[in-house]
Formats: sequence, structure tokens, C-alpha cells
Amino acid sequence: MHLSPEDLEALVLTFRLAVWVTVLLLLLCTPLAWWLSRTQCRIRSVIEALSSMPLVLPPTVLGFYLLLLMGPHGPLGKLFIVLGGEPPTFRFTGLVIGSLFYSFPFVLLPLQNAFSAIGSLPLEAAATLRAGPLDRLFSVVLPLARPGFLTASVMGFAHTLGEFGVVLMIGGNIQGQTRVASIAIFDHVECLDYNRAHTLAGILVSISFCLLLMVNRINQTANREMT
Amino acid sequence: MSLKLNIHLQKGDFTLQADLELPGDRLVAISGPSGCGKSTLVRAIAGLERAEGNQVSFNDNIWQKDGFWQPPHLRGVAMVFQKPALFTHLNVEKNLRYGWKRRDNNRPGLSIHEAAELLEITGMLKRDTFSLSGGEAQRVAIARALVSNPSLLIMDEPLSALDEQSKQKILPYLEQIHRSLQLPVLYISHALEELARLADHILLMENGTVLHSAPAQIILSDPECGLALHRHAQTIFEGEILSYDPASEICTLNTEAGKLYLTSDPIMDGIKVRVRIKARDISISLHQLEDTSVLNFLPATVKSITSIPGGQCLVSLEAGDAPLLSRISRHSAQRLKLRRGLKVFAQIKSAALLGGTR
Repeated sequence: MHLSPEDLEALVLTFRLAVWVTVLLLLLCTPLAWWLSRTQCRIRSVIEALSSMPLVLPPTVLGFYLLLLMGPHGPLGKLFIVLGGEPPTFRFTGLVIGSLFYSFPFVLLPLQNAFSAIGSLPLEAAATLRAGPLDRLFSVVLPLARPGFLTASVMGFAHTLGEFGVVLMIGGNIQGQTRVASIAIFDHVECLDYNRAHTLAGILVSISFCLLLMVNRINQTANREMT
Repeated sequence: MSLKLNIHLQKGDFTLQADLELPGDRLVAISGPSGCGKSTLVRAIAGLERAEGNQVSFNDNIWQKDGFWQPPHLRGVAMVFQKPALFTHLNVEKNLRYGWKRRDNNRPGLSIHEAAELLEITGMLKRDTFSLSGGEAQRVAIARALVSNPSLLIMDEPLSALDEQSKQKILPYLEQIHRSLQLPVLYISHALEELARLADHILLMENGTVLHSAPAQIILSDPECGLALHRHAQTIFEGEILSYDPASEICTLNTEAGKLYLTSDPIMDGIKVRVRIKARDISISLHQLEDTSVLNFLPATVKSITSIPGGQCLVSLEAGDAPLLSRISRHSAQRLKLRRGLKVFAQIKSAALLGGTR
């Protein structure tokens, strides 16, 4: 087992990407998941379907549209240029934006399920004990949804680690900037360098397994406490 | 002291319409068949249901009027639900602390320790909520509501999800709360026993409207109201212990209906009690009998006679200022030629009197 400096760089980049995406998705998805778990509004099903699209679309399709959107002639690319920057394609920013879409449902759904499972009773009980809306959020909702937040974080993180198609479409393969671990593995296999591919692949397999094991453990304890 | 309501609430096909004033310093029981709107009514009072144009005010506080609507957490209404609704991420003590931290400090209230003593949950304080039985969890929920020092306590069928044994265990705690705390309570139940033991005032509802609203003593013994037709229909009076004879284990009570003799455990003079007498334990005679085991003879006047199925009739009586309800066979009523205005004696076995100190 030997990890070359380039492979280490790819791994570090992958983790940086996964952390950024997980944090941003938690911020974005918490209010949306809360709203989806409470509303009777008719556009709810439309939003749910839209946010689940990345689950079924081939990543290359998603990547293709994101490339058009963020390229120098796409609306998002133009916005970046107007704001004095460069289009985000083939840069780390582009990877983050692409991954936000790609991993969106993996963070949204666990949060939405956790919020729905709380039901209205504990919140009504808290309100009649003089807890205001913000107080109820911090003293009841967040603690009760804790297992949901852990699941959402781990799923978002692990799923971003394994991203390939979207990155390839919008990020290319620039060492130190957009070459993530999964693409480095692809490169090694192309060059028939199976040893280096094994090392990187093995690391990703073990990390993903440990993360998923953790999620299951958390859910089991949470379920035991519920019953 | 009063709770003034003008509520009109539409939920699908169901309409709730209530325009009334309730005593705001005692235990008001709300009863009626399932789906009659009892829960919706109290939820509107607590601020958990909202409909524009309603008016709700409690004593000097306006909770809803015209465009103004006070959110539930500012009303000081604590609510005990059918399910305990404990916070599962907190243990028993922290559940109580949740209510206590947010209590109203302007009025004297119970400490966590006092509430735990009152409901006998002191030994459970360190336990997790999921290790509690249904009855224990409900006692914790009641204690949690009490320590928040509410201005009004609402209990929405707090015993209905419990088995008979747990109900019988919790009822004395509720009686204790009722007599020891000066706390206005709205109590939803359709169990006659809970109404007779706890209620000072009863509101009867049907199909989203209010049928009757009157003092419990009147509603429980009024043949016009459904509760008097119940198999265990009973009359209640408030009384005061005059004396207790340890040799015969009988106490003498002074009530609005006259003097009553009641078998009882030793009890102090001057204590106020609520006496309950089942309608089927009251018989009627035209003269005061001598050679009988019955100890209580109350002079009474017949107010009305209502035939009910099963060859029986309900005789509504008035003894002193208090109403009394007797359930006898129609045959006996005809034999005694009972009619409105007739002077009779209501006979009650001492052993049939159900007491409750207060």
C-alpha cells in the first residue's frame, strides 16, 4: 500500500468537497425539510419530485445540464462573470455547486422524515408550557430530530465522496483543483496501474462502510428509544 | 372570574358553534359524544386552533378579539392531552424542569419537588420517559403542567387512554389537585364517574353546539339531560362533617339536603366533603319508617316523574335546596301514587353514600 502525493491530494480534495457540500446542504435543507413536513400546500409534491430527480437521473445527464448552466454562456456562468469572477466550470466552486444538486435528496429526505416523525403533539405540549416558536425549535425539534441530522450528514458526506459522473462533466480532471478520488481511480485503471487504484478504492470502501455502519447504529439506538 | 367564548369554527363538514360564559375559577367539565367538538373547543381556547372572528377572553385577559390573536405560549394555558406527550429526549425530572423554567413567576406556584410529591412521582425523577407505564407517564405530564404555574389548566380526556386500574389510581390525585390548588380547570371527559367526582360545572355538547351549561349538581340530576339516564346516574352535594362516632364508625354530615349519616373511616370535624348518591340507591316512602336498616330519611318534594325503558322511572326530588334523583320501578311509582308536589321521604342506606374529602 503506497499513497502517492497526487493521490493524497485527490483524497484531500474529495474530503474538502464533501465537507463543504454537507455543511451547505444542511443549511439549505433544514428549512425546506421543515416546510415540507408541515405544509399541506399543493406544490409540495412538485418540490418533492424535483428534489428526488438526482436519485434516478444518470449523473452524466445532470452534469450535462449543469455544464450548460454554469458555462460562460449559461445563466449562472454569466452571473459569476457579471459579479467579477470566472464561470465556475472546471473549478472547485463548480464541483461544490454540482454536488449540491447531486447529493440534495440524500440530505433532504432523512431530515424531512425526522421532522415528520416528531408530529405535532410535542410541539403543542411545548407551546402550552410557554415555549415560543424559536424556543420550541431549539428545545424540542432539534434534539428530537438529532438522529435525522446525523443520518443526513453522513449520507450527504458519503454520497459526495463517491461522485464521478457529474464531476467529470463539469470539472474535468485537473490535478489539485478538480481531480477527486473517484476520477483518480479511473485514471489509474486506464493506465493499468491497478496497485494505486486498489489503494484509493480500498480507502473509499472502508470510509463508506464505516460511515454507513455509524448511521445504522444511530438509527437503532434512536428506534429503541422511541419504543 | 369567567371564561367568555364566542367561537365559530369550520373544519371540513363539521361546524363548532359556542357562544357562552363559563366560571373561570372552578373545575368545568366538558362532556358529550365523540366528535361533538369538545377537543376543538378547548384547542381554540388554548390557541392551538385558530379561526378568524372568534372571541376568547379569560378573566381580564383578551386572548382573541377582532384582528388580535394571542399565540398559545403567551396565554398561560397548560394542557394535558389524552397521550402524555412527554419529551422523549429528556428524563422525567428534565420534563418537569422544562415546565418549571418557563413558569409564571408573578403568582405563587408549585415547585418541582411539591408537584412530584403531590402526584407521587418523586421516585421516578431520574427515569427515562420510555420506561414509564401509561399511568405513570400521565402523572408526570400532569405534574409538568402544574409546575408551569398555568392560569388555566386544560385536560383533554386525560384518563381515557388508560386501563381501569390506572384510572382508579389517578382519579384521587385529580381530586387532590382540585381541592388543594386554587386552579381553574377545563376537564374533558365522557366518563360519568369522573364528572361526578370532579366537576363543579358541566358543559354538555352535541354536534358542535352547546346543549346545557349549568352547575354539576343540577345537570347530574336533571332527567332532561342525558347524564341522569345513565345506569350509574348520581346526585352530588357538598357537605361538612359535624361529628364522628368511633364506636359505630358513622359520621354525621350537614348538607344542603339535610343531615346525612355515612359509614366512614375516622374523619375530622369541619372537613368539607363531596357526597355522591346513585339514583338507584335512593328509594321513596310516604312515611318515615321505624323498623328498617336504612339510616337516612330526607324529607323531599316530588318535582317530576320520567318514564325510562325497562319498567323504571326517574323521580326528580327536591330535599331542602338540593336536587335528588331516585330511580324506582314504574310499578312502585304507581302504587305510591307519586305526583308532582307530593311530600315524601327519600331513603338512603348509609353504606350507599360515596364520600370524597375536599
